[in-house]
Amino acid sequence: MDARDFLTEDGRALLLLCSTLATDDTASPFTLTEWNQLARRIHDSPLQRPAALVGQSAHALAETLGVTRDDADRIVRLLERGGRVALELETLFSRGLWVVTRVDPHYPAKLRATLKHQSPTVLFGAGTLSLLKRAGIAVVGSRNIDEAGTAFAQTLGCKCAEASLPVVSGGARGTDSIAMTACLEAGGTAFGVLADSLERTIRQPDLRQLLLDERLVLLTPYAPTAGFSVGAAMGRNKVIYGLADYAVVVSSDLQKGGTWAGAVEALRAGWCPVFARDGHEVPAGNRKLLELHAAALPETELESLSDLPHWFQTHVASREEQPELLPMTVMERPAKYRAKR
Amino acid sequence: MDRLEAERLLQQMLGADARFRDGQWEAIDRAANHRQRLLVVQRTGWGKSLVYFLATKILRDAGAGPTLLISPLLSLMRNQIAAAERAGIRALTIHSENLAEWPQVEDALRANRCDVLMVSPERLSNAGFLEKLLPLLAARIGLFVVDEAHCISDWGHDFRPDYRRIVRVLRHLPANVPVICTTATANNRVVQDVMSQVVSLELSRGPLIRPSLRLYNIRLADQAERLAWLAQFVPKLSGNGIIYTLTIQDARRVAEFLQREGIAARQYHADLEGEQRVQLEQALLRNEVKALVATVALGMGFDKPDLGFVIHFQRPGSVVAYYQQVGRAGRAVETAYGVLLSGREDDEIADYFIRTAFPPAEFMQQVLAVLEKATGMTIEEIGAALNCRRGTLEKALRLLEVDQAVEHRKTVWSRTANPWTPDVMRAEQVTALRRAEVEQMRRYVEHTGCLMEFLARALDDPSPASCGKCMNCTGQTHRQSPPTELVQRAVEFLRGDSILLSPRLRWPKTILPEVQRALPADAVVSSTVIPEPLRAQPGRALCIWGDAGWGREVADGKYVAGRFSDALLEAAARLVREKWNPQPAPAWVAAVPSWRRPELVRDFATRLAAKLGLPFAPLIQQLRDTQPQKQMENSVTQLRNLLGAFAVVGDLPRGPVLLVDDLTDSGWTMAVLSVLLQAHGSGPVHPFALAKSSPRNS
Ligand SMILES: [Zn+2]
Repeated sequence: MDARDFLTEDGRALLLLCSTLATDDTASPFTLTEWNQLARRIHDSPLQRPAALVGQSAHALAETLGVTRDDADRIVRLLERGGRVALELETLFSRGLWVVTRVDPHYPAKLRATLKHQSPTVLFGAGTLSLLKRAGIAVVGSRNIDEAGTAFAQTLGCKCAEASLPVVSGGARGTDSIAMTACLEAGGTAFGVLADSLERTIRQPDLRQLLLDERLVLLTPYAPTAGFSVGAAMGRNKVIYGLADYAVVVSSDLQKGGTWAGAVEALRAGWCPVFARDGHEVPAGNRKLLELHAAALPETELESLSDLPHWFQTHVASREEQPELLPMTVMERPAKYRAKR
Repeated sequence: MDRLEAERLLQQMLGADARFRDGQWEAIDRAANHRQRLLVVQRTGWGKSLVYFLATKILRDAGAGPTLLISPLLSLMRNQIAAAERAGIRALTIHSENLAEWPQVEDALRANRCDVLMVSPERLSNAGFLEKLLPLLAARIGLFVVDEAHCISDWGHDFRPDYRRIVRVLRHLPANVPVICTTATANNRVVQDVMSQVVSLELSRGPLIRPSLRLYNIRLADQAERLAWLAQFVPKLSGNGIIYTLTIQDARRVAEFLQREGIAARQYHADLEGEQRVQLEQALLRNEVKALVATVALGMGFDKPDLGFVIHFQRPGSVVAYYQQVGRAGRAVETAYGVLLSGREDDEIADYFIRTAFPPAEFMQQVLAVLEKATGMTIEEIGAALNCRRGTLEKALRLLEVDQAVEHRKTVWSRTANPWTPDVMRAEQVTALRRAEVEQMRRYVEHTGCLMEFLARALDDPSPASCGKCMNCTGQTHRQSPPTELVQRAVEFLRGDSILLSPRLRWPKTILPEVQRALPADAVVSSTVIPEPLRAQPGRALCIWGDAGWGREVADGKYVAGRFSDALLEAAARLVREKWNPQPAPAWVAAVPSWRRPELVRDFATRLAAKLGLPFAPLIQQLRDTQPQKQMENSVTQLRNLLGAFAVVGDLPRGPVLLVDDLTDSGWTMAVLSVLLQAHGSGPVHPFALAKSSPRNS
């Protein structure tokens, strides 16, 4: 695809308003929440589209959109850096990275449909973007896992490859990389949702080769040169769940850590059905998640599963028959996957 | 800002009586006041810089950010920058040769004291520039200017990868940033190509005819006759000028001959250091030399308004290239001369350039395969892995970079995450176009009507007309010949001029196993490096195949007489004894055997040995027929063609050897035989050939 295919005029405007690319201290980009508010104002105004903001004066924007003069100034300053962002985008595309925004046709449809107004405004990535149309299996878990967890993650990765289901993971050490590597080595496909350093990651020859072979897609809601931060690691969790049809928690700490927070949030928001590894010695977090009505994927059963998609489907469906067991404290509203059926 | 106000600024820049030329104000108005994107096609000297400087002024006065100007011509824009300063426009430059000034530029950008930032195209891919200076453009670019925009086009003569990057930047640019692309040479095909790549460009086009230029076409088949012509007529031309040659070899030769004839001529080409080239340009600008004898390396950057003449020693490959080069003359003088000499070798050189323009897709894939295994590699490392001519590798990397399959940071190249498939169609189309362009130049050389009108039509000038000044318009078609003794001196010069043969240093990695199998056990190599004791010494060739010195005599001997003449023998012996004098001095002579013509080279080598008073030992045998090396596509096939084809029999004389061949092309024959001879106990091998093929441009 040509760079032009990724970003529409609206996407370009959205990128200027919401991405940290080429920003300086004179104007900070719009956060997700701020953008959601602004998007509504744009939609309700005669401007209609984000691209229509380009070239407008701050005065005109304040009037048309009903925003404060400060915000209007901020919009103008953010949009003014188009020339520089153009240069940075060129460099990114020339290295094999792409950018899409929530308003562009190539933005992963499933992500947008699942996360709705919570879906990230901008995604950077590498590898064949259209692969993301295939729904995957999210495999999540902590960085430090025991032997049983490791074996489980490996088997799950292989099963995904056999079933032609992409593994979606965070690309971190531990569970993520074990499951992803197992899947890729078994000839499968993987989506890695990174919290940082996309630009540096794709320089690794083995990963670059998988990208070129259309076996791997790496993506991130953060700038490609961004370094690691705890907030970012949490923020990409929803993207992992958002790209998946089912999620499997291999091992989770109790009441702490990214895996726990992500799984609870996924259960609460109903991004996709969540399974947790079940067995004699699973971590306390897994037990609690099962109590909170994550579905159980018993260690003993995984090995012998022959039809993974079918198993997932039937085991989710069986829970649907007992909706009264879901405590409303966790599931504030009916989960979407059930509402959709 | 309206026209009157702008004209006042113009007068501040250029003097009280300056007025806008046709189209200048219109272009300024469209870009600055209406924020349009323009493609300005106007002849050099029309005043394109004025358009973007005044457009900048208007936009800056309206509060816009600075202009980003991309131009390969920066080092020679001092006059225009000075003029702009008189109108209060502050222009600063960034290029690879003014690193020391970068901090001042940084300060100026930070303080918003820079109106135009001028950068060379390659800066756009320079990490230092992108990360350090670009953020200081107050985060915004008010106007984007692309100079020499024909370089954007695939079809253009000067296509440059850096320009492909510019196109992609323009694609990402929001619609509210005005753009001015300028060029002096663009036919309809190139204009359309540029406009299809840069969206929403509006065309502003003026006439290309340069009224001061008198065009002449003179056909002189022999190099010697052309050299004599130059020596005779260049001193008679008023002013100073440029003599273009197609190859570096010829630039050197022509300059040397003219110097010998007392003319202040200097060679100028890509083999010279940047510093040296700048000095040569300065010397011509200050009229300290009569002429620079240059390849296309003296290119777009050079601007001397009072250049008196441009002479071509050989026929360039296209009308676009010819117009661009001849158009450097007569920008600001009443009369200037554009003379195209054409000769026998023109077609062969044109054909060579076309054939070698695209490395084979197979080779491109090999380059990628090597890079895919590594994080990053230097050209030398890639070259070591593949064994190929550096020029071919550079060409391949350049094309792969255009396709974004590779990138480089400083000297380290790496594979990007973009997929790549060979575009055979593109290569074929471009090749077909290049052939059509050569054909058009052939027609130009034979044209009997107005020459300027021919060029104007070929370049799709909107208003072509007879110039009234060219040789055909004025009926000055009768040619004066240089005196015979001058022609004779030129022949002598060419005959005394020898060609260096650089030895091969490495085997191609791809066929290393074949090399190992084919060579004798004691010459077996574990790496691609040919061990020093087995390598050939730097050799010599008497001439270039087909040239006017000995070239035709060699061809005659090979294909007509069936025996190389005594004159060649004499010249070869003189070269070996006097000019070359290889050390350690050869103790015996060997000949490269030939399956089809066993006598030809052997006979010559025997006579040469006798002449030099050395023994001749016919100890190399050819075991099977080989194809002529000229027909082999690349290094690998050339070498494969030779492997196992030769054997050394009998006891070799000790001591250094002179290895004689008639025609050398790739150097592989010499390399393989040097290994065999030295592995069998001979001393150092000094290769000698009667002629060398393969020209090289730039
Ligand atoms: Zn004429």
